[in-house]
Amino acid sequence: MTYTGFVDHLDITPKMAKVLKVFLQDPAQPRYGFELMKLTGMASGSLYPMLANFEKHGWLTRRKENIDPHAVGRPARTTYTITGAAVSAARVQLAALSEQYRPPALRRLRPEGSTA
Amino acid sequence: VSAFLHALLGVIVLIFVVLVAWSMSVARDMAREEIRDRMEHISHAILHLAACRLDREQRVTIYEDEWLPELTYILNGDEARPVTRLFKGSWFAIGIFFTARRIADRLDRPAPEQARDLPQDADLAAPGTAPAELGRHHGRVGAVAVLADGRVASSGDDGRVLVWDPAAPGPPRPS
Repeated sequence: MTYTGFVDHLDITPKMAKVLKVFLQDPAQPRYGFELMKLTGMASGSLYPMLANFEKHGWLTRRKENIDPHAVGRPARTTYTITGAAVSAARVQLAALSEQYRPPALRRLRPEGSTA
Repeated sequence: VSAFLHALLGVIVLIFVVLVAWSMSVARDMAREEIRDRMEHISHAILHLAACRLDREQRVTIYEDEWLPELTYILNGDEARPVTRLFKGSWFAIGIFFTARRIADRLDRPAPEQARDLPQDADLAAPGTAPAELGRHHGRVGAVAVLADGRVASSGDDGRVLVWDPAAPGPPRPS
């Protein structure tokens, strides 16, 4: 809806990372809000403001699903698709985030049985 | 005579039992239906309250185009049990209710780029006059065409083709 251009750096929280990961699994696949709630285990109260935020910064685009409401018997739902620019930006930022959360390697490995 | 009476009594009792069982099953179905209806009303009512926290334009783009279809889907969707669906529907609506303003504020940021997305009505006879805004798509506009009768058709990223009447600014006709 509101297009403000692409903002390439967002502060990614772990919850945002979860959502981005779903989109990165298949960037061409449009996702529904409820589907994302199920896939990430998030409540609507945290997911929808986040989607709005992604949309505002040009990471996701929103469009109506292409169905005939009369044939299906329900109104057309809204889908979200990740934008091309966001795919690469999200990859970089998720990698940085996982680096940040990765536990450090053990300093020293001792042979089994040694006491030193 | 006594044997006949016993048989008659047996038949009466049988009919009575069948009637009671039948009416109970009807009552149970009615109760189930009613509970389902009421629960659906609750989640719809909560979502409606959430929509009241939006301004008028957003009520169409966010509530009617997104929240409501999503709730309808959840209530009639692929979840196995009706109670689960109703619970999820209400949970969905409650979450939305509490964050409605936050969602709206994030989406409601008129950007300068938006201006060129609007179908506008410039007066060709008087160049330089301000164009009139007829309305807007919920996405970027891909193409605009003038029809033979003077009306304007536009198609946008929101997957719609809208027909505008420059003489009568107002809601467009989706087609």
